[in-house]
Amino acid sequence: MTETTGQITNRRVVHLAGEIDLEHAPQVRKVLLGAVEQGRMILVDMAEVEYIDSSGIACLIEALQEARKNSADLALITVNPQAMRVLALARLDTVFDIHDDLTSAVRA
Amino acid sequence: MHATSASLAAAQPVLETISDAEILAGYCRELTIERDLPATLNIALEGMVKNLQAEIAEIYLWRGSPSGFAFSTSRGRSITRRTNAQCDDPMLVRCLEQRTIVCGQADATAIPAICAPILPLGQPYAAARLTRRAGAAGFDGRDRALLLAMANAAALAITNAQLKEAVDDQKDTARDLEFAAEIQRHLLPNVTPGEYPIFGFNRPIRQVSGDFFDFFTLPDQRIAFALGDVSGKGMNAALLMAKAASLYRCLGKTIFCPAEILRRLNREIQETASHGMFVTMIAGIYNPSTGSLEFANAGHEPPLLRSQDHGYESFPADAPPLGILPELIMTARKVEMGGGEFFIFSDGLTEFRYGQGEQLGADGLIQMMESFSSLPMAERIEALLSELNQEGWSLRDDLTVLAIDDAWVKTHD
Repeated sequence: MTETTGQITNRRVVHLAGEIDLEHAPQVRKVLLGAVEQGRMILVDMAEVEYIDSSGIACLIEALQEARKNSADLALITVNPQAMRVLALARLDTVFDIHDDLTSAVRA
Repeated sequence: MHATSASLAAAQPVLETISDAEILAGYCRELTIERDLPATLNIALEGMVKNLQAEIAEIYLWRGSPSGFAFSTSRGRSITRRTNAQCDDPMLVRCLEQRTIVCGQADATAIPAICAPILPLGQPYAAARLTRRAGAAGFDGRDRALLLAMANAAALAITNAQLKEAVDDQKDTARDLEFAAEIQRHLLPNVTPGEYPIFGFNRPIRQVSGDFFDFFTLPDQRIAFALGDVSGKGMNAALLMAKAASLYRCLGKTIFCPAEILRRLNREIQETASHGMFVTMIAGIYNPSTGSLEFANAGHEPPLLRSQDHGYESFPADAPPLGILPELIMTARKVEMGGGEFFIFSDGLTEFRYGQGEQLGADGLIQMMESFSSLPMAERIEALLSELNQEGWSLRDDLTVLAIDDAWVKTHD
């Protein structure tokens, strides 16, 4: 699991990569909550997420709930097909704001 | 450790007499008896006070807090333990920082003092400190050599006692987990497969499970059933599992509408769930006399309906999992089983992997299930689980299956 954080036009972008599972969830949670604390709009880039389990999804949900508490927004971008399948199966595509790419997320 | 001892040895005289060796032999013998940490500290300190004619002996142990030490003090045979003490004695600080034995007078007074590091703990933050009455003779070279040897023996004994404490803690945790697992097993119905139209199976990947299933007969002879999967694994998932399972059992006996049960469960879980935790769940009611089935699916892996001609239909979730949104908008589905079979399973089943290969997936599951198509449902599922228990297959999550056999009623009337 790797993650990096950047800043694009007032949006904090968190790049997640690799396997987001129980082992890596604490690190992902820390990064996402840190980004939520510092930004008004957080974009989570999931293009390189090879696998995400329910522990990883719980991190995303907690970050989303925290963002809403702070009147901030959190959206997922470039979610790869494997992760998208997991999100869609659980109907989490109705919970998260999901964008195909960074450009459309920035325009939104 | 060896390098430090060697550098210290140059500054230390050797022990003077055979009686000193006997003192050390006795001290070491006492410390080899297995004891808990406080008892070990008592024996270590008593021996230091007695053999070095000290008034007070103290052993300082770093407990990891920034403010410092927990330490035990011996005045003769009276032992006191203090915690979070400040380490502001310059001699002790020097002893700890330089990992060396330090001898002199405490706090610029006429109180003779000596400090020895306790090194084998794998960290520099343990030391013994001894003082005599004000005006008494100072600690000499023989005392330094004796204390250094005693500190090393004490260090080994302290390390052993700390390891014993850690092992005892692990045993306590393992016992607690086993007890929790047993209580969890009792939350699940215990029905022999094939003796009822519905049965379930649960195998936790750890000791306790984040999955659950349940079923019970309603007053009108219909059967209420549910299967849930809490996000994550281990104890936190198990605690939320116990809550969701208990709430379901309570609500399911008074509310005969699966979608309404899930809506109410969602509100309860959403109010108290933390860390983004959620529950994917299917709840339903099966009528054995008509073969009709009503169920609602909150974010759970699509269940499968297997018709009598072995065709499969899957039913995607109607709403997100429980515990995320304040309100769930969902309606239940109604299907006629027509003598077919209905399978609900946690993603532990579809996420089985063979070696480093792809996950089993729903298609792989169907294919494997059909390789045992000549068997009755209960035996077929047992064969499937037994196949997945073979070497090469790896389970990544808790595994739970709930199966309803509509043909069972016709053969058991």
